[in-house]
Amino acid sequence: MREEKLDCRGLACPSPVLQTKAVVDRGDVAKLTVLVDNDAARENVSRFLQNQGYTVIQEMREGSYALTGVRLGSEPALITEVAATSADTKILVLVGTDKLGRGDDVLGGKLLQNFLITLKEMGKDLWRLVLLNAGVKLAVTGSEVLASLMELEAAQVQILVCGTCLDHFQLLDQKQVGETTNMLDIVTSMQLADKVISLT
Amino acid sequence: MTLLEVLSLCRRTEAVFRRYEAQAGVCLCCEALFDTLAEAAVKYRLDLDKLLGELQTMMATEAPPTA
Repeated sequence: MREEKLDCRGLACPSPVLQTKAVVDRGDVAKLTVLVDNDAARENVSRFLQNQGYTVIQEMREGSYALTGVRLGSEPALITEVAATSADTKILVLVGTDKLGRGDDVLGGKLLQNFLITLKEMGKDLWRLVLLNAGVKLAVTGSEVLASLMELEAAQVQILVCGTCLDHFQLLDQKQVGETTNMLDIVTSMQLADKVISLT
Repeated sequence: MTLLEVLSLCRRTEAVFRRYEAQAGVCLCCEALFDTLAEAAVKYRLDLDKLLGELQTMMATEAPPTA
């Protein structure tokens, strides 16, 4: 199994995806790092790699994006290496509720809103936010914290929203922020994070 | 077949998709790479038959000789 690197900075769509596809089609690539410098390429290359069965980690490096695709089932050392090369701490916050604490649901809702508004104080250490179960309601139309979540997303915090949960609450078409995801991505994210903070 | 698959088969088809950008209102090679041609036609209100015809013509055209 090989490791490959591609520098697609300066290339307009669809070149980054086509070059990534050419590498993947050659086969036997366990880890592929692609450098891009625009949002369209970041989204398209990430989506392509995920469709091909890679777990994708997005990192900012000197104003560009480094997209690292790792094949699940590869040697565990590969995943560890990816985590160790980043200079920033990766904090993952898992929110499985739309209320914080017990005793009063109205108070709990306000406390969670304040928590999410204050999350940006973590700065660059805040890596991903995962929303599960009732937590997905925070990412849909009418949520009081949409602006805060959009602000986090604009600051390069990845927001993953459980698709199964959205479907359960019939909110799939009301998601306003974040990427719809699955349990595999969530478990892999927890494995790659340096620290997991869980609110459930 | 998705736009990505068409472009992978024949890179020259990019010129066809670029011609439709004004009508679509977006960069098709940026926003619709994973849509099938039919899905993109519906989403961006394109004439699917016309698009298919132009793509087939482009794919049937020989590539210009390299210097």
